[in-house]
Amino acid sequence: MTKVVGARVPLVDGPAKATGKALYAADLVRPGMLHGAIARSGESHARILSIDLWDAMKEPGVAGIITGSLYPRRFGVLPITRDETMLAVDKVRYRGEGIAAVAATSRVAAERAARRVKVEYERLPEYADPEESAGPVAEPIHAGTEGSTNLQKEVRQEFGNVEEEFRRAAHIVSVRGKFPGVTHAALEPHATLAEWGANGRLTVWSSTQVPHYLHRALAEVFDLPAHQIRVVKPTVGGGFGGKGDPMPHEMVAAALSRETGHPVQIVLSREEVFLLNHGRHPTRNTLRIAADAEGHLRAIDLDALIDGGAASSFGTVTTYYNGVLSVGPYDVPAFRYRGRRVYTNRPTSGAMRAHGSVNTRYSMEVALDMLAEEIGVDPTELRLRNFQAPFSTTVNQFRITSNSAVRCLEAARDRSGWRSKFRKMPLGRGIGVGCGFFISGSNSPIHFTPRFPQSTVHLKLDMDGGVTVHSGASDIGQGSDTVLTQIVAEVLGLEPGQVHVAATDTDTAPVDLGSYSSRVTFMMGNAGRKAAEAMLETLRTAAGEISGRSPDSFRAVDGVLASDEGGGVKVPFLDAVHRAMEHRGALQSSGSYESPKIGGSFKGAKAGTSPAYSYAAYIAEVSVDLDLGAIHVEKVWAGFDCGRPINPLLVEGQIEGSIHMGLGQLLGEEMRYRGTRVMNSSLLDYGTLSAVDMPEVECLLVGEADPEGPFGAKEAGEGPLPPVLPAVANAVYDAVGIRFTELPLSPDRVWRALRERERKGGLQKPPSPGGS
Amino acid sequence: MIAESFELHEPTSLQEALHLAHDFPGKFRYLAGGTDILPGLFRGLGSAPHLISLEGVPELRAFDPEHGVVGASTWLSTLERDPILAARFPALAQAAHNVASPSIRNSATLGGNLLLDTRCIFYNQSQFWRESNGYCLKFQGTECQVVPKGAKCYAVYSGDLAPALLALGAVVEIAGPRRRRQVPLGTLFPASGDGREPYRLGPEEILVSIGLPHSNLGSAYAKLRARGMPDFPEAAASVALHATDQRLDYFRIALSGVGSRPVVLDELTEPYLGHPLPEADISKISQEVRRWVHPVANTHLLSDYRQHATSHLVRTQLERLWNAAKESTSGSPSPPSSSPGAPSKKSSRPPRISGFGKR
Repeated sequence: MTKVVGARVPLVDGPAKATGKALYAADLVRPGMLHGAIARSGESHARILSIDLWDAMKEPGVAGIITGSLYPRRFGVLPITRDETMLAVDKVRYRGEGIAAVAATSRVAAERAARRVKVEYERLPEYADPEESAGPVAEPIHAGTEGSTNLQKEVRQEFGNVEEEFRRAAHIVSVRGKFPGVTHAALEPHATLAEWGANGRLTVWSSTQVPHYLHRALAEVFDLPAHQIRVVKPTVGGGFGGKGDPMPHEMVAAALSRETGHPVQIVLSREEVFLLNHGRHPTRNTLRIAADAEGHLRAIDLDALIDGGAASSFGTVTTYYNGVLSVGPYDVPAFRYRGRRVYTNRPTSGAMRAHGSVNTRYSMEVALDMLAEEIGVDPTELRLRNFQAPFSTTVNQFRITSNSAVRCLEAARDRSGWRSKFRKMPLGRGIGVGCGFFISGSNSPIHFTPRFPQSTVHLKLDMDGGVTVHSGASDIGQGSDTVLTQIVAEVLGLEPGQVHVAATDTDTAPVDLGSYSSRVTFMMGNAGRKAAEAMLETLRTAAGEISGRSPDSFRAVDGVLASDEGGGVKVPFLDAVHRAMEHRGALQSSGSYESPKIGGSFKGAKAGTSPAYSYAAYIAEVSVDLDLGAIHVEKVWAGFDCGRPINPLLVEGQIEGSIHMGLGQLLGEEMRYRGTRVMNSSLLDYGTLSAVDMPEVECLLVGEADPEGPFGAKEAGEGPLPPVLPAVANAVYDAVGIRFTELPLSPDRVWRALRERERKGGLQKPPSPGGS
Repeated sequence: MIAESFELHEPTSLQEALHLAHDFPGKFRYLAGGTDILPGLFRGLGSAPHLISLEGVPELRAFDPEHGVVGASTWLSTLERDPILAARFPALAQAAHNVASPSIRNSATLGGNLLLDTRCIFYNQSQFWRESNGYCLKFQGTECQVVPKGAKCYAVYSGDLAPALLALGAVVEIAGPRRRRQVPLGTLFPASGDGREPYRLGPEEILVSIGLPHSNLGSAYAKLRARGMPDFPEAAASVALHATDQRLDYFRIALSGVGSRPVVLDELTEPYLGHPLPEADISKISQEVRRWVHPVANTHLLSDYRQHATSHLVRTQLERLWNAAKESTSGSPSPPSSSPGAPSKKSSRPPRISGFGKR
């Protein structure tokens, strides 16, 4: 049994955050630091005819101004779609795109100067409608799109014989879903401090999920060898995908520092964070499923059109994910997908928690509910009939390993009292189910060919006996430093307080692909475990030398190296450390993780492959206010399989946070637009749910250990999100008999649907399975 | 965005505050809790090189719920927590409790909430946003973005306290450079109902306190919002009534969040005075409320829904309050004999509660 792994260890950085001592990028100050501000375009699609900086330069306190033409090099998180520049070059593609940037002695002075930048534009046709962008357009937003359209990416996939399955199907159900864009709304706004040193070396402190991608992008944009750049990640106040890309303001801060010779800090306003966006894509999807007479799924036919906004970001991956992540958690013998991502003149869409899977999952789980009703079978039973088997392969050649979906659903069903509630509660009250799965890290890294490990961890042990851990994984609030601390402490038999994770600094940390795609616990965790095990080998040898027992006989536990050999002996940890250090100084070790070779060989085969998948089955109980349309989520029973949790406390936090975020998208959050104009770029107007809107959540961590996860663990950061939306929507159907396939289910829209149903023959509960 | 710099003045008496205001004509704003005015200034909604804080003016902190006197600087958190106030003027306590969030209520004041600027999705935006959108009728522009050819501004009065206080028949005491005056609260809100003029006060006048003449009314406040916290009302209604021998002798309904001014529906309620309130009348009244409610699409929720919700909020409060009133009224006293709307003598000079300032 493990002692530290599996324990409810509080966040190691919790006290610093709770007392206000943690330093975020906006808190940092450097001698001689200037403040940067970005002049932004009030046009959404226009050619830049001229930029007049004269008035801006005359403002007191201004030290430097740059425009896009000085730094036209393109960047983007995916090497195949570099279509962003730090400031607009020649034309602007969304309202809010940077035109020029100012460094000045104060933030007020910089902003005042930025407002004085005068731009002359030639307006171009604006594209706000993805349908329009999918066809030929007069003025494509980016050069190089196919056939004068705004199509950025199209994916077509087919596995099995979809046509034949639909022809033979006993039941066919289809859902057309419409989902507005939502955004991350992390508490900490983006902030960057860049300092170009006298020796020509650039240091950037930034609020980022992936220091390594920022490191690469800086090297490309400034044409520097990577070793001349140092990226440091301070405390980060949430990312959720919104800080995964290298962002324009990060480049701008570095450029302003180079121009002025001073450190330059840029802190985005909340409005700028909304305009930067990179949130979940507005989506329209059509999903059809075919099933046999018993409700076994035979085929999925899916079409998705997603609104990418002004740039690519992670969008090529999103386009794939919208399709391929529909093949689980159920066994489906045939699958067809067409996905299209189009540019529009709106803020860029990108990766957001449960990337690419939420909207498809919603349509899928609603379709399953409809199928269950059509067949006359309980929807939990229908799902139990269809879960994919552990240690199996999907039709598109995903390798499935551990899978406790059945246990998740059975636990949620039993704890919720499903059988006595489903279709049995009075009008206005309902219960519903939704399931899901998610990758534990993308199996194929974005950048690495040839293959390097996806994560490496270094350990350093000195004469004080404390373990310093260097990792390039970013703790962005999710607790990865705590998880790494626990893993290292467990292997070395130490208390967590003896292990210190050094904040990410590319000068000292080995390369890690950062905090996204729910990869950190699995990949960094395995790397950390191996690094600690390598260190343990050294200490065992030392313990053997001290005690005369064989090195292999030692276990590390409770601060000693213990051997049962020869009547048993305990060598204090520090004694072993000092012995091992003799004649060679501080001890160091490394461990790394490289994912196995899995997946097919067809185009796009790697998208969605992962060394392991989490599984989830949620049941939600709701009441619907029949007078005012408000949906009150009373309770969520969250059956979740993250393998064996390293830290149940943090997993529960992830589940509760995911439910908060998912319910926000379901019940009210929305990037509202008039044409291309964002209407609600503030936290008051955007609609993130408040604490009082949260239901009670009962977390049911019932997963079995994963054979490849560190101590049996899998991801828990994103998979907990998607199931809650359809679980609640299906519960609303149980309550009032209305299917909602357009989000959000805000009270005014629900009220309208209730009234319309009353006019058309009355509100009533849907029929029970079996027609009782 | 960061506001241009301003100078903060911290007078310690009403006279000093009025003098300061006199020194900076057209260039100052009074500052109470600052929870609404400062975010506005940060977004370039008006400018005020001089902010005159009223925090240190003791007179504005009067708090005597026994006698229905509440100073304008009273924190909303005080209003929601005070047991005497909650017992005597439940609508006010409920309204205060429904404002924003706990942390904001620890700073926001009664006066600030009453004199809230009107709101609109085309107005409560940054300077950058409004500039690129060509501004609007309420501020810096010439055309309404909601009702394009409209001659008036439709920005919404969104105070939570006003309907409760109006239903309770509150009067306000106002201090100006030359005189003090007491007027019914309703007269503060111009009949024109133009969002550009949320309230009518002299340029230097200060709201000192409110007086609540009727302490034995049944009253309630309810609001519609998209989330449980911290939104402004999308519709709000407050009802206050009193019955003697099962006949209404006080009956007021007031609304907020659905138009450019808070409205009192005396025209609707007066015919019911002297009568009981059977279910049929409750239905009729809550239906007729709609005639006073014509929201336009300048908040987050759909306009027809906001109209419906107003009616529903009135109905549920009427049912509850009438049921309570008819059961508990036998032998209980009528509202104070002083004419409605006039504060008692005592409240015209609000007493200080010792120790209050320490909270």
